[in-house]
Amino acid sequence: MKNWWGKGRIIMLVAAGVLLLASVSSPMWSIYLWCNSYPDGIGMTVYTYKPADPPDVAEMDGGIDELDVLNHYIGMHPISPDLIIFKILPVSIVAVGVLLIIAAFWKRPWFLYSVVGLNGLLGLYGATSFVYYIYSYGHDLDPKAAIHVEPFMPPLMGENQLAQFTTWSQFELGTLLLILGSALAFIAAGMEWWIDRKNHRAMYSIT
Amino acid sequence: MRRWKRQLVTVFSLLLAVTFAFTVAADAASRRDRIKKSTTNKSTLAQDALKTYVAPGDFDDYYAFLSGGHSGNVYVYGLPSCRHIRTIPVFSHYSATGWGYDNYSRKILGDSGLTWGDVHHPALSETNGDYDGRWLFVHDCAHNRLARINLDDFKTHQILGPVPNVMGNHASSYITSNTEYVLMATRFSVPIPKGTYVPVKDYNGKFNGVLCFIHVDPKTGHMSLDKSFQIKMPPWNYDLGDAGKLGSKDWAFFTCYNSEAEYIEGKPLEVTASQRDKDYILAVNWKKAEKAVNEGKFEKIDGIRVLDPSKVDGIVYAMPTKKSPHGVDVSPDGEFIVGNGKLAPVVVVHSFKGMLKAIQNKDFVGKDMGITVLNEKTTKVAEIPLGLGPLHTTFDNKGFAYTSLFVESAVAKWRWQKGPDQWKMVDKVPIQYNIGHIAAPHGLTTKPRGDWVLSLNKLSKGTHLKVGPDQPESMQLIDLSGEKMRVIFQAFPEPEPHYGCIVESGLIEPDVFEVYTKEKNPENEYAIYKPEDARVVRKDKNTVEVFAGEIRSAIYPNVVEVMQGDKVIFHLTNMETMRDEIHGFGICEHNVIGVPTPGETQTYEFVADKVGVWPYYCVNFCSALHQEMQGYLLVKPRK
Repeated sequence: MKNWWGKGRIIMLVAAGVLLLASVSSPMWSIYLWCNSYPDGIGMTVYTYKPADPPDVAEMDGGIDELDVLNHYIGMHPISPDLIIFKILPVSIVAVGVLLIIAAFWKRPWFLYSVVGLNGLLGLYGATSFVYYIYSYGHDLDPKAAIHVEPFMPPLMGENQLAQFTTWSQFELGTLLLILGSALAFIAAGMEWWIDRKNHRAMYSIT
Repeated sequence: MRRWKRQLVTVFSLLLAVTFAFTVAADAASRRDRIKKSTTNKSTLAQDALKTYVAPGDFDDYYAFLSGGHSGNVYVYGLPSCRHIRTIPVFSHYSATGWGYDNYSRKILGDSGLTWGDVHHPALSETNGDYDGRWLFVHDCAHNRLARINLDDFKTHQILGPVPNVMGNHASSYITSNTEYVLMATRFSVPIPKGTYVPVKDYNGKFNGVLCFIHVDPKTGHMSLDKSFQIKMPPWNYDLGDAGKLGSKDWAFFTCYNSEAEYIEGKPLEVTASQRDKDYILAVNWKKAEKAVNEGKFEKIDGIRVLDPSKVDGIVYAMPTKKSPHGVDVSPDGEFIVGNGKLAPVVVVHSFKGMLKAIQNKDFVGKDMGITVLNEKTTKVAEIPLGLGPLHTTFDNKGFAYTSLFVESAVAKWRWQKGPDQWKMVDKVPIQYNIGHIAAPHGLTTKPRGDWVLSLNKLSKGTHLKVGPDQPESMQLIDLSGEKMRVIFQAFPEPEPHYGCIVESGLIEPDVFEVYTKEKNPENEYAIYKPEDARVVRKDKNTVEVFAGEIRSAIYPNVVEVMQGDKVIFHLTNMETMRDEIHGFGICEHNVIGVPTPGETQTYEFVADKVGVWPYYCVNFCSALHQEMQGYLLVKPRK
């Protein structure tokens, strides 16, 4: 193995691990809603471990409590911090982050590939369950609610219109860190595989 | 070597690009600002300012009588300036005018012991369906009372009730088009007569609502129970009402929610009362009901005549209307009955002619708890999508209707009269925030005047200087002169302007007096008009009667001596003949306060149980020597 890769591998994987660890405490996704009667908006920010008020809630008309009050009229379930995803996601991200750092120093290609594989599964789980939860909040409406609305898909990104509300939803820093960290890990694995193959070929050609 | 470097550069620039894209998208703050600016409606044009500016010395065009909600008062405003001119106390004690402290107001308030009321919907007396400027009726939602304010002195002269059987009198105080009756109705059904105990699980079966028609004397405005009658109804929640006019003048209309007729312990009514897609507008032929009652078709419950519509045909019909409709408002020509959808984003318009046709042809869909339900297909002429949370509608003189949209915080304008846009929304304007009632000059009469729409908003959040957690309501004036509606002024009225009657000043002003003549002075038998007539008279061992007067700048007599434990009956006349020379009367460390207006006599009764020297003085600043206007009450110990 070449010398430069020995160092590069450590830097990339440690960076990937640190990015993943950092993403756990950062906001992942936010939604803001405005209408004439909420000129400063109401909204919610989702972390890997909890749904919460947006960080700038002090300048707004309201956060998650107000959202729940409005949602109850159309029969949406209260936004719950007890969802299983808020337990699985932070624990598994921390685990993968630590494993990536271990992989930086314990130079076994099979180990790195497995950790990166886990990382991929984690990403898949996070993305699908997030979309699933958002979908079911908008579709699993109490039929006995005072106001009947058609089931709807809360918008994941960008500016949209929901009843009298203009909404703006976006992915936040935590998601970016998670993507960057995972990308670094994948690239590291790719480089490992590429260099491994080259070394192998070199060795093979010598014999 | 070069190859991996090139690859690294590609990888990092890709990562950079992702980061950059995120940063741009994550610029939430600027995004919020942009949306906020586009939704805020702040009119800053000088020409708008001129429309509401009433220079010192000039007068407003209209009186606006706004209800004071749970303050128990009525507030008098001028339009278009939106200036608060006067507070008329009705159901609550109000030391600013001495209301509730002197004998006259105590007699009017009665012996119920209640010191508050909940005024929602004032109603001006009408002749031929338009305001006649004689009386203002208001109701007490909490204690099922009605009050009459005379518009010659702007004071309360009668409080009737608590009226039997009515509970939570919300659909009130609507008035028939020649002031024959003031309407009342039950919002919270209870077992009747009041004072009956029934567990709430028997809600459907043993609880009842009533619709109530209180008779008004055409000459004096006096309301009396003996000529009034009620209609016993299923335990639905009767919400709001309006009387018919012109062709429909013999009819009255009420909305209801909770036609589910359920009240379940532990389950919020907001859920149980919202299950049906349609509730009702109830049409009551009050003329026919009056006739039936006078023919003896009634049962007396708690002293009032009550008619059962399941036993007398042709009195009450239900028109299916979606959903938990709030206000019901009859068009100026009396032909259209507008139901405001509340939980459905529409107004539902029924035709009076269609209704009569359905009744005549027996076009019924059945009976609901004894009430005949008309076929909606025959009564309904339009269902107009306007926006979220329609609550109330009022009218202008050009064929348009204006509907308040609570949830959406907006006013929608639509055409009800024949024309190219009939039954279509033509304009919408956002308001700040959450409009409840909507009022317009003579808006619900046969002759709306146009000009303005007054939006009475429940929330003012953030549109005023901060005043802590207790916040004012908000009202906004909407200019109708242009193509588009424009919000051009905002004021912050006292709680809580549920509804307002806006009337041309010319209909009120000519009959207003500003100084009591002896004839008008309600307690003139105790009046004195000259300082030398002031006297203290011992009536018996324990009673002292004082005949006192006030004129700039003295109180006569300036010493009153009584024995400890004496009952003091203090008659005080304001001897001024000049308007606005209002004096006051307060005794230090005693719960005695009065504000007699020029020419008026008031009586205060109290027991002088505290030995000592107690100053009394004029509490209403009157003149250059106001500070000197004082006297002493001497209370001598009994041996």
